[in-house]
Amino acid sequence: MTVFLRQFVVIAMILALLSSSVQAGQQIEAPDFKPAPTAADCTYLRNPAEFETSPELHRAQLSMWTEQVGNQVAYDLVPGGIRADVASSPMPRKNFIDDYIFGRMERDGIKPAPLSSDFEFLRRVYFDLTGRPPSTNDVYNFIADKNPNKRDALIDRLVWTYEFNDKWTMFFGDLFRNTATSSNIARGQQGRDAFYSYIYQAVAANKPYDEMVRDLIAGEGDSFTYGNVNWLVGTTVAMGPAQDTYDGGAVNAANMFLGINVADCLLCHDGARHLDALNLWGKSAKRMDMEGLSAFFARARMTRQTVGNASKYIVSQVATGDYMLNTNSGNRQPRVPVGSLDRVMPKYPWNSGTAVPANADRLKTLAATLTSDIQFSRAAVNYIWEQFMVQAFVSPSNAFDLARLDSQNPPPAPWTLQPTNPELLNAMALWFQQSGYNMRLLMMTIAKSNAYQLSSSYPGEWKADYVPYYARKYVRRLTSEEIHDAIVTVTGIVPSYTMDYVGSLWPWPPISWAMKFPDLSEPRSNGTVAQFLNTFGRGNRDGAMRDSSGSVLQALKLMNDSFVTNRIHNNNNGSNVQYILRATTNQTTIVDHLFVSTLSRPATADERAAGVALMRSLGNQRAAEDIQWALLNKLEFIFNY
Amino acid sequence: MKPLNEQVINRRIFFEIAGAGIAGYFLSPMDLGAQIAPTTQQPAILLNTAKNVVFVLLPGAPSHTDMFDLKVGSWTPANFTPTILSGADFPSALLPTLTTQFDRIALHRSCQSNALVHSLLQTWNQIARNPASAGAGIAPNVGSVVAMENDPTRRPGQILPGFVSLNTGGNSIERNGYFPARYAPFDVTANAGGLANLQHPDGQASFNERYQVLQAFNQANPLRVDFDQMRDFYASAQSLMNDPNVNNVFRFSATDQQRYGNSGFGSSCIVVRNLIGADMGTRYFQINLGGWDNHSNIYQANAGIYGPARQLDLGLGNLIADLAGMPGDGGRTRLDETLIVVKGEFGRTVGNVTNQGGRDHYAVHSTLFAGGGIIGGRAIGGTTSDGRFIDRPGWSQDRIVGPEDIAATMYSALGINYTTKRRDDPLGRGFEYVPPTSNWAAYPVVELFQ
Repeated sequence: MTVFLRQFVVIAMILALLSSSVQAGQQIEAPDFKPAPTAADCTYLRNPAEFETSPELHRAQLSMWTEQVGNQVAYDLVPGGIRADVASSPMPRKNFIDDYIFGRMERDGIKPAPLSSDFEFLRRVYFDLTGRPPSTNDVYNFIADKNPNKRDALIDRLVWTYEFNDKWTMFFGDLFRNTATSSNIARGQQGRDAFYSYIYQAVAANKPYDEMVRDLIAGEGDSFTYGNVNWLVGTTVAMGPAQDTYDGGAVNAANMFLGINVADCLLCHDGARHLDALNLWGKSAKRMDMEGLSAFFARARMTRQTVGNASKYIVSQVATGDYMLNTNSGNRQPRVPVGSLDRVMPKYPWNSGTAVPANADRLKTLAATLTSDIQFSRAAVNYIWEQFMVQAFVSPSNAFDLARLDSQNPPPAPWTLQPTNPELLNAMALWFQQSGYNMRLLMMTIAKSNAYQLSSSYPGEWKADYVPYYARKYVRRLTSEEIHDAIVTVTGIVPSYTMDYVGSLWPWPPISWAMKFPDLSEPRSNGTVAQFLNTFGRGNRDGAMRDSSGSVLQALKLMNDSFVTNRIHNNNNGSNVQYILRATTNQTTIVDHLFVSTLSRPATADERAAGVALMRSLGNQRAAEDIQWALLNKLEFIFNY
Repeated sequence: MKPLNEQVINRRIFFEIAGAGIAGYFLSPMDLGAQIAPTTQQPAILLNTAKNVVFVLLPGAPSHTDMFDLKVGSWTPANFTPTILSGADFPSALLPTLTTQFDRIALHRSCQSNALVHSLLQTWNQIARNPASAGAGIAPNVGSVVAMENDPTRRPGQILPGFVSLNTGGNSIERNGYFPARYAPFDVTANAGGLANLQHPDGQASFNERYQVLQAFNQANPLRVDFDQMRDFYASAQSLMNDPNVNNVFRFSATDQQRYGNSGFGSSCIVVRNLIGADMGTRYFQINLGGWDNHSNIYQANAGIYGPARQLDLGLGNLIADLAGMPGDGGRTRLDETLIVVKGEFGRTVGNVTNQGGRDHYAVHSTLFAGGGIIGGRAIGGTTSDGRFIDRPGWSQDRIVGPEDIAATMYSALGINYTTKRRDDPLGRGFEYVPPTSNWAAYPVVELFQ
């Protein structure tokens, strides 16, 4: 681990190169810049965490969360022992993922956690696939099911639910940064809606991921009708020459589709003297190489048209136009001719590929080339793996270093291989490619592996060093939307948020589930709930990324926000509390129901005893409301373990 | 100064300061047996003039030659009304309130950044080191260090978090790095009604009962790791609720709201004023004010630089004025006790505007200081007549001033040893409050106080 960081010691301050002490009156000039430099801005790197996350700190924190929450949950105290057996060694292998994961553990003498209990697994896979907790009936039915393959059967069923569509539409909305307004461009609510609709239909139909990305790169048409062209619209860079926008296309393509964020740096300067300690591949890359990628965007035009109070963009390709080296203002360093070259022709930076024929449709060519690049598959696999396994192969997931991925060709010391399991990443990338970029199949394969189904509780002594082995299931905090929707599901009080607005492309019906919001400014019709969601760090798909950090404000919201407190009342018609109080007066049953409905597990004996004691002293109604509130505020409620 | 591990496990201190727990990662235990020692390389200068720091970050990077280092030329709009104040050029009509406060303000004009990338330098300024350097990935915000350093001196009743951030909106703000979550920035959205969700809608009695129920279940779960850790997270929320002073301190009147400019930034300044006056445990405030990235149309009426400048002027100007009128300890004012530092991440190009009517990024820039013992009414350091190069560093180190020096100045004013190197970081490499750059060791700008 420390080897990885030794390189940082070596750089000293590559970026801090200033002349030393100065005599009075002497002008001080930073040697990196010519007098009066005019521009330099990586406008897309709004969150420095994209660069600066320390993998070691991340692992330490992940470890610690998992230790605390994973060990906290009482999953094995159900009478009769529903919990799965402690893992015998070796762990049975259900698919090739298990071969690589457990193979590596056996090679290095690391013991895996036991398999998850049915309770653990059920709640986890529901959240991971559908973004919702299981209902009380789901829990009872699953536990009672005697089918030895019930876990696989559940996964097969869940990937074809409407909730699955919502969750993964939200995921791709995040990845492609679908917003109505952002700091660089306004798609308008109509453009956002069209993009949302495109993504939803693609997810629902299990559209191959490569097709989806080709639609985004090479789409044409108006942004209110053809949702996919909104991706290109989002690459616009304001307050600069057209080349800044072409660069925007390159950066967004490299970042989102290939997981290569250094493309942004390379569009201002060569890698040398800047990326030397950050990216082994990038440090020898040249600005002109990356401009070759930008040049693919040089014939795309986005013509703005007013529609009522909004603006839409007509995206089209024109026959002429090049990436000219003739700028001296705007968001990036000046672009000047190099020798006799006054422009950069399109050339995909990651193949020693042939140049693009003169009359070829540039974006269609790029779309085909990029989506057949194995890195495209790796990046996609890495994103999805991270959603399920919490610890990505390469983290942050857009910080791939292409020179450090191949275990057959490891990088020279002090550089190390980047992925947690390079062989598995590459095997999955090839497999995903060959499967036709089948998203559901990828997710099903991950979820069906025993690696995914390990418990989050680890019986032995745990070390943060074990994190790359996936020796246990890592814990994650639920997203804002999952928390909102879990509270709604559990308490049974379903909200209704007005979504319609003047000028909308279709009449938007009200929606009830946060996972259905087309962007993260919703619900615009309900500021309190929007604030609730923001408090849990959903970000804005623009300058602020999703963040799982906790805060006192979150505690205050869960304890005191009317969104929560209204829903626990017996006199709120349809509430979970009302339901159980009407169903029975048996205090044990009431307590059990509250636990299963809220936490998807039964109470432990002690919890049950405490609950029943409360019912006796406070009376059923008051106790039931209090217990419902308390369980929503229990730490495990907002975590997925 | 106590090692962090002792602070974490000392239950007596914990219950006294229960309000400070912010479980960002639901409590990250520090390594035991940590050794902390100041380095002996360079004796630190501890000015010890201030109790609080207000750091106003101006993301987007304001044009220095239009604001704190005004250079008048053919491009300067007449409505700036450039004025010479104590020998320093100042756009008195662009920043009228600050003009009235000028004798409390020092302009420091020999700052320079090492790169021109927004996010990189914004982070750099908040964590006092190059974000791409060793250990930067775990480095906490300067505010978190201040909060941690001040934790042992809390008195009963000082239950607010040591580090409060405001008006951060969609901008990222650097957080607590590897420090325990209680030192993370407590992000406040300024609202005339006060802090949201401090009252339980079903009443205090109902809340107390329910909180007991929660605790009962936490105790009943036999697999819990450490009950204290759960309690830390919720206990701080509960103690904020219990203290009636808390809600008052976050409230403000409509009159104040108007006077401070009726903006998110302005209202945040009111909250900062209140928190400083209430002296309830917060020692470091970070307020962000963006909108300065004027690559085009910088002099456009009611837009360009005018928009953010107006917000800055009304908010900051009134904050300085109000603090100066509030009594502190021992005959000083609250302004005397509070060092205010205002800067962007770099400057903007000088001379004539670009072909888009704006200014692009530029390394040279200025910092505004007020309060905390600085001597106001002047400019320190200076640039050439066009604002292009620093020709008068204006201080003992005779070089440009970087973010590390600004941090050293803040620490020094607070009496915190900026050469401290902790040995409790998870990477085992040591963590320096202000690391040396490749060319020099950081140093406080003592001249501001002389």
